Amino acid sequence: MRRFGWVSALCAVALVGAVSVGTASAQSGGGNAKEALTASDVGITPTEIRIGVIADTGSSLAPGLFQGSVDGVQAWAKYMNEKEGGLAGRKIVIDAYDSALDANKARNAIIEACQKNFAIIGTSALFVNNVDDLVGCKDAKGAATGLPDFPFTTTEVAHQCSPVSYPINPSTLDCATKDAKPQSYRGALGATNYYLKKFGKNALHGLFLYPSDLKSAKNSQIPAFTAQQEAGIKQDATFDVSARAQQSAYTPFVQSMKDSQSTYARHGGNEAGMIALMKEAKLQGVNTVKVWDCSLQCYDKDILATPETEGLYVWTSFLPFDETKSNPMLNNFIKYIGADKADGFSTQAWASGVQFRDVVNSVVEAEGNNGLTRAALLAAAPDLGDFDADGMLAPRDAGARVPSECYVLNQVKGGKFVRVFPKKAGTFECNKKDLYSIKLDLN
Amino acid sequence: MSTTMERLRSRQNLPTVIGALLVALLVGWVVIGGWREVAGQSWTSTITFDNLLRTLVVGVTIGSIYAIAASGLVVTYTTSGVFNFAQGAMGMFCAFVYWTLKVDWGVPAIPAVLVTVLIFAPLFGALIERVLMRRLSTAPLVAKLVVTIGLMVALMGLAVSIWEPTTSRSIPTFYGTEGFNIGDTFVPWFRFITIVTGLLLAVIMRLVLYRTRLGVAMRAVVDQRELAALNGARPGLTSSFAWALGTSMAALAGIFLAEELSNLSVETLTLFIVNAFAAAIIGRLKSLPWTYIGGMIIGIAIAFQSNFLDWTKVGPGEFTAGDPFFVIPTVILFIALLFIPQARIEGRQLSSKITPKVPSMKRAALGMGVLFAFMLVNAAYWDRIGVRNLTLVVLYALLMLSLVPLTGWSGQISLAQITFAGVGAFAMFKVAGSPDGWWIIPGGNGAVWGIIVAALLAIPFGLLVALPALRLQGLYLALATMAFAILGQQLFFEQEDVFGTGGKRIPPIRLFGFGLDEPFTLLGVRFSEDAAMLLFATACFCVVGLAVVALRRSQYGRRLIALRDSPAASATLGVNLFGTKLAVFALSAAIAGFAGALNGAYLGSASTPDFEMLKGLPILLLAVVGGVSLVSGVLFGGFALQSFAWLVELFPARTYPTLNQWLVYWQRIGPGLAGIGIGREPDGVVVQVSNDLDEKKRKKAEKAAAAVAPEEPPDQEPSGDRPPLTVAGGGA
Repeated sequence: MRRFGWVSALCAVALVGAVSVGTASAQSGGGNAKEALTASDVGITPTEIRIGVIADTGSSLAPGLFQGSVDGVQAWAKYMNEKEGGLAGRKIVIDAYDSALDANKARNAIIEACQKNFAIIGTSALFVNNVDDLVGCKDAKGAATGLPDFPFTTTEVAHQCSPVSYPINPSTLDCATKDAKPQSYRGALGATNYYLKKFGKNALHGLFLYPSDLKSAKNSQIPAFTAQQEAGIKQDATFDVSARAQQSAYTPFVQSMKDSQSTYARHGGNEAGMIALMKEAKLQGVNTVKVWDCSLQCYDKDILATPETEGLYVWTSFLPFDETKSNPMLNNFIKYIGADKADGFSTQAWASGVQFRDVVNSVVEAEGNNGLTRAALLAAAPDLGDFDADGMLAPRDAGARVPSECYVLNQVKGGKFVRVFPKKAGTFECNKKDLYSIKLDLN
Repeated sequence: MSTTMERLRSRQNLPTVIGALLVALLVGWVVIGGWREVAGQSWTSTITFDNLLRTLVVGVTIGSIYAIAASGLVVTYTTSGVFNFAQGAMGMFCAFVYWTLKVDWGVPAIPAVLVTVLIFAPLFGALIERVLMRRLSTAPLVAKLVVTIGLMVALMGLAVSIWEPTTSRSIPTFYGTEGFNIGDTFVPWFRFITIVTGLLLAVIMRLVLYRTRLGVAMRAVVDQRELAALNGARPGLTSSFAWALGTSMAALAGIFLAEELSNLSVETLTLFIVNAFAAAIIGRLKSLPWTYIGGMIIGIAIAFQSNFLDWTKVGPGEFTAGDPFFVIPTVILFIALLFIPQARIEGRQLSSKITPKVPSMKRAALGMGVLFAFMLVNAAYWDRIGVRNLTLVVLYALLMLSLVPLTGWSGQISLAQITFAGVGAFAMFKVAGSPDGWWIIPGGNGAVWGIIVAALLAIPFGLLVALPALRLQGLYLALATMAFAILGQQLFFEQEDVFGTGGKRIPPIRLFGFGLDEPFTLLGVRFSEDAAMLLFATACFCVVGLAVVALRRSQYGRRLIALRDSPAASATLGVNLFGTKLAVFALSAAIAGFAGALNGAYLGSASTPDFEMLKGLPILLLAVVGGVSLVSGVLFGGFALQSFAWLVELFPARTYPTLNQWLVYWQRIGPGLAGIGIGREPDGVVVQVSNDLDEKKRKKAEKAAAAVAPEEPPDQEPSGDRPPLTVAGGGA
């Protein structure tokens, strides 16, 4: 019944994962330009490379949910074809598949992509519960090498721990421990240490809200919130709240903040929940909060359109969209996607394309344009090392699938996101202390 | 007093009393076990005047919205006999209309509200009544439910097509953030308006229904339509007025709720009404004051939980208590259904049902043979995706098959089949997906007997649903099964040991060492991956389908039909209603569990969202559309359900952008329209087509017979050739 309440929660979860990508030089084409191109694998012909993007765009109740991912990938392909001469000497063609918030459709999309596409990028399907077809996908020679997957987000454990998936937002779960009790989780603390330094080590205490629509959505927030509390932000109260809850449902939460004189608040759900919390807090006269904290799901136009969100801190793992002058790749992203379509989804889908490009280029450099095969790509992916989408994304070890500790802290001021920390445009704050590691039994 | 005690202790009321005590104990356990601990404070110190006041303010606000929505539901039910599942969807639609007027077109708030609530909503409601509901007055209950559920689905699809959810929409509140304080709780004017409106409406509607001629006419029309007409009432106009009124109230509830949302959501606004069902049941679907009180009970219970209970502590150990926003109203609904006497609406008539012919076993076997051959040919022809799509058809049909004995024959309406399917998938995961099997049952590696275990495990769940069914019938039973489905989703599937931590992998079924997902060659013909699964699923459908037909032909099958047609007469004839109902629920659950296990193996996984109550609605809809009393009817329903997605895949956007867009709209709205269409043909498409063909055959035979028989001379005046009539015996 609360079908798409949890959709919103899962979308927020998908965005909350820390992202860091290592550096990589942008190289396009590569290989011997005079080499006669061949159809080196499934989805590759002498003239084109077919790449798939699987996203929940056509669900009857949440149409267009991850349209941003499809837009981001298509914009990236257009950029690559026009500016970098395609990939491995071939034109990039994108096939979009609609998984429609349905596990069956997600699986069918993977099966079809396995038959038609060289790889899939920017995957934004919330219900990839079974990766047998991803891992067992056969290449042109009939070997079950797997379908290279560079997703934007992975929500199910099966997908998070898929050996052929290299998400731009690695999961906080350490897959080596997924069957252990307890499991290990690591992820970004975000700007927690910054807040503690700025406001005082014992100054911050407050409210943590968990999404209640699905237990797995709640579980995805527990490691981060626990780590924050261990870092020094004390908990006054925690509540579970549905993504569908109306604003008046937040009155008790807000009242508890008043009772405790809370100085901190964080909502683990979607941006609509954060808006409801801040609106109700303003209504009830809460004025003690120093830090309204949110991560990249709040980097959203709806937040800016709501006056009550003034002062909200939003930390992201990508550069603010108004810093196009400081980063050419960001500039290209905004140029090709259009300012009105730029959002967290499209940014990271674009970045997954850049990640794919870098891995392909490393294969082409070693093996030539005709050496590009699924097996070679999957062999090269773990060695990508530090990746940062040409500076547009927080650096991370993409090959090792470790979340990034880097971030940019913005604050809502006058209806805009204003960079707060680090101050210099085009940069990220990277400190290993901002990466938590914690053991919890959540499975 | 002694009389009261005697009554309570009497055998007749004993189960009710015991039940009430159990409920009280359960509530006490939840409250005590879940009491929120505040550091440094005892539990009593958390009960302060401010806390209680806060609870009341929040509870009454949300309760008022429930009360308004539920009151509209009661008004339409008491005057038309139709329980409008689409009440929330109609309110949602009106909320979006209000947004369009107020935000998009810039109309000031008061005119926008007046236009929406007093012009658009009443016209909308009257139109729905005139076009759809009027013909349902003598339709069977299942047709009424399916039409309103279809309307709900269609309106949701239409709304997302008109107002695409990719754009954020919010409604500015009345009087912004101005308000007043009660204690330390600030009450903004828009919430105060909600509370006062709810109260006023309850009073006004009570007066209208019971103190005005119009209200009396509205109530008379549903009790005795013809008699009311003879007395000067105009049934058509009265019903239209009632629906106009009910829709206006839905619009008000929708607007009040929309004010509380950061972003207008089709789903949230529609499904809100499900929480309000409990309020309507507390009002026995006829008392508006009690409906209002019911709304308050739900709202205050939710607020109480938010303020005083730590929901994560409710239940032992690792037990997950579910989302209280849904669990609390659903539990209240369940309790209300069990303890509050069903409203008796006099004068309801079932339409004369066309009883479908019972096929012979030979004919049924032939039909199944044709089906299997059809699937065999298609399995060889289609690629893997095509084969998988066909498999889904069979699996849908198998799940719908579980409704045939239950709803089609015995008339028991169930919205919980999806839950039984989920139980089956869980069993399949445990047996076939776990390396060491489950408990004493060996398994792992896709063990095929997992599907048998699945069927068996679903039986006790079916019996659990059957127990309230012994006391409830008709609409109340349907609502109880819906509550069961919601609670199953919240309290069972979300447990860590079930699906709570995310999707569970189910390996492909292995039969004699052969995986049903592997390709194979038969008589020189190559079959793709998953073709074996299609054939296996089809074979299962054929076997179960034949068993169901055999059951229909048996004495038990006739008992089920008798139970549907007249429980009283059946009991008089010695039919054990208790045993019959239990058995049919158990059988239905077993078939659904079996289907769920196969579906899990087909999908390769199982997770909570796969078994939400909402996902079961299209299953019921299309089963009834096809013909829920026939095996062939549900097979048609399976094809119909999958056809919507098929068409979209057949004409992909990259090649047919415009056509694809229209097909996407059709996919959103089509299942709902199909459900609405059943109002015309409540027996289903297959029955109607079959009867039409029989009718044509009969007419053809009559025509042929008429052509062959010699023509009888017509009666004529005596001609001159004939000898004159003589009268012997002298004549008179």
